[in-house]
Amino acid sequence: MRLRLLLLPIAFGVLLPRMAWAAGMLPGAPVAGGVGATVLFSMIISICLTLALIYGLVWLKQRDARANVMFSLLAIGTAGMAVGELGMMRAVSTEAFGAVLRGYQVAVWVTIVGFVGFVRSYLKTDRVWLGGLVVGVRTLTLLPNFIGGAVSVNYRSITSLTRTSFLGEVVSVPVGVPNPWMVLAQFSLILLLAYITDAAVTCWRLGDRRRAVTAGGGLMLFIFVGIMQSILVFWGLVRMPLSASVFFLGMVLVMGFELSRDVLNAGALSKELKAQRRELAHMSRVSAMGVLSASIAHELNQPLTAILSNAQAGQRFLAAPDPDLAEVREILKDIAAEDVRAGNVIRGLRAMMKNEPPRRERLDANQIIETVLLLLHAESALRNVVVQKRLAAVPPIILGDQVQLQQVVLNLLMNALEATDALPPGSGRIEVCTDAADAGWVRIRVSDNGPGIPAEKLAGIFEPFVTTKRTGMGMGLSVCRSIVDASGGRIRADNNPGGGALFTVVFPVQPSSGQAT
Amino acid sequence: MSVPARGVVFIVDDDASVRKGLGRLMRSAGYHAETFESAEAFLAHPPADLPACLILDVMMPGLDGPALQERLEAAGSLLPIVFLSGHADVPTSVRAMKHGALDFLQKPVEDHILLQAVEVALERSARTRAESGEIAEIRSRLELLTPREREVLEQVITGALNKQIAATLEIAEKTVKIHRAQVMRKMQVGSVAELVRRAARVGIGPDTLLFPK
Repeated sequence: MRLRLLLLPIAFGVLLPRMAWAAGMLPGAPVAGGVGATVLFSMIISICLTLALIYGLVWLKQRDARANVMFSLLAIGTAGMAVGELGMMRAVSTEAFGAVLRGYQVAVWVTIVGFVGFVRSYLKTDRVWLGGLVVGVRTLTLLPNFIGGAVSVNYRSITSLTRTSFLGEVVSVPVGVPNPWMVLAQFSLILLLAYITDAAVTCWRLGDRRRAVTAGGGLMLFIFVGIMQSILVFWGLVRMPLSASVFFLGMVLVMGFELSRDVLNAGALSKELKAQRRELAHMSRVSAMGVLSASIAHELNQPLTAILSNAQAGQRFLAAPDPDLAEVREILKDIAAEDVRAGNVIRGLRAMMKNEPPRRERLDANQIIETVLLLLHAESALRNVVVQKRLAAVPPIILGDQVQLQQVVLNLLMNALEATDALPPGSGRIEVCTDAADAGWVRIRVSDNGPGIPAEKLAGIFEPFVTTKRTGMGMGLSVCRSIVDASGGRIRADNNPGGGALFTVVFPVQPSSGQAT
Repeated sequence: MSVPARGVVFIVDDDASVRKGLGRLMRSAGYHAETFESAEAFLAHPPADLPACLILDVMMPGLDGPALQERLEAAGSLLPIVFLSGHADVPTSVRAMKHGALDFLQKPVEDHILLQAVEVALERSARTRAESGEIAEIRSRLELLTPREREVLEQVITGALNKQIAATLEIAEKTVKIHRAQVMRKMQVGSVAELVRRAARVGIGPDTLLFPK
């Protein structure tokens, strides 16, 4: 995707100059001979503007990504420099040349501000005062650029334009009297070099050597070359058109590369985070099953007890002189049914212990609650808590991973059970219900008559490590929220008006047509 | 059923399948089984006038097994209880046994273990029923005694001689003899030793007297 976007400016670079010419938009007139410089600078402009657009959009979506907006600024500035440089090359009069040069200085200023901002928000190892000094000094250079009667901060006056060949194209190069204030501009560039060098060295010292070399080193190199060229050209030591934007494009590419690494890293990081969340959810399930092990053992014991007494009763009936075969048949039927019941408990247990990538499938919310209640049946009996269920008459269909959604319901119910511990024995009441709430949402509610959630904890109850229990880790609800979020649902906590906590989970309803799993 | 009913076995368990299985097992061994889904349902049922025992689940919603045991104890019930628990919980079992439970068994239970416990429980039920019948009889006989005869009885069982009784009660020795003969007749005993034993059955002994000699 990103690579394809980068092809765009190249295509533009070839087409743009010819189209612009045709429309008479580029300064100057077409010059006989090659068009190498025009093509190159047009490509620089379009590459920079494209990158500025991409990272500007990233910033719009993610306002805290300051490095992105600074990069955009830098790229826009560089594009402006390229426009200016191309304009100067194609200038036909000294007046036109001077006007473009004055504007050019504004583009340089924008580039430098973007540059300092990028280093500040990306490397974060710079000296703020030095960055401020760079911007300050560069801002000062705009004064002699626009006031005082000189052509620009670079030239007091331009006497003539000479023609020279550059990249196979005949371009204008000025002959003029250098402005002494230009020292200030070049001083600001040297400060900039010092600024980035210092930030890169600190970055290296702090151990982030890769960033120090690619971002710091790369920027230093291009700035250095850019400075050298501008010194040589403006002081009239070398007769060639100004082409600092070529080197600044190098900088833009280095920074763009760095930023895209971050974007790619963020992708890998979010994948890793997802895996960790899954692992956490699994751990939380396994630990819940550990807590429930005694009651689940009891839950298995019931069918085993029924099977054993039925089987032994059957043997005794058959040993009688006149066995009642109808009774024995009933017994065998019941044994088979009890075996299925035990199997369901084991299956539920095994599913909760599994660690498989979550799937998205159509699920009956009622069925999820029934399965969890099966696992919790003995636990609620042990705690002498009455669990009432009120399930929607028409099975509400939702989309998600069965095991994970069971985990959400299990966590909520176990919290409710624990909340009723504070009550006198036998008075705990829990209600779990499903209903197709209005506007296409399926609602699952779990409420208890325990002490409720303290008001000061209500807002952050889903954050990790927030708990109302003395021995809780505070992971259960945070896991619940990440599962619900991933399934496109919402979860919220309230206190019942009559006391006790109420947890509400909503999921977008799925049409009940089609096969439900 | 080919085997005649040998007593009533009450089964209280919240799990329908367990109730059904245990009920069948009891019937296969020749007992009459009655099942209840909760302690409350059992309490609402009139007590049986037959040798009976109770197979009681520990963990139940509402009133649980030990709570039912306490209720029955408070009501003066003599029904022997065999607890049947899903998981071994030492404090619960100790408490149940201290309150007179006959046995505390674990699910799943082997038929011979459960049936043996039931057999013992029904025997005990029959015995306590007989005993409670005897006690009721002694009590009714005691009711027949006049206050004076009651006083004489209380003196006799301490081993006092007629002369001592006469002195204590400030009556003639001859009168004591008449009262004493009446007591022996009304209580239907032939010897002082038997009188002492019968009195002891209903809690009247030398140390329970108002004015011990």
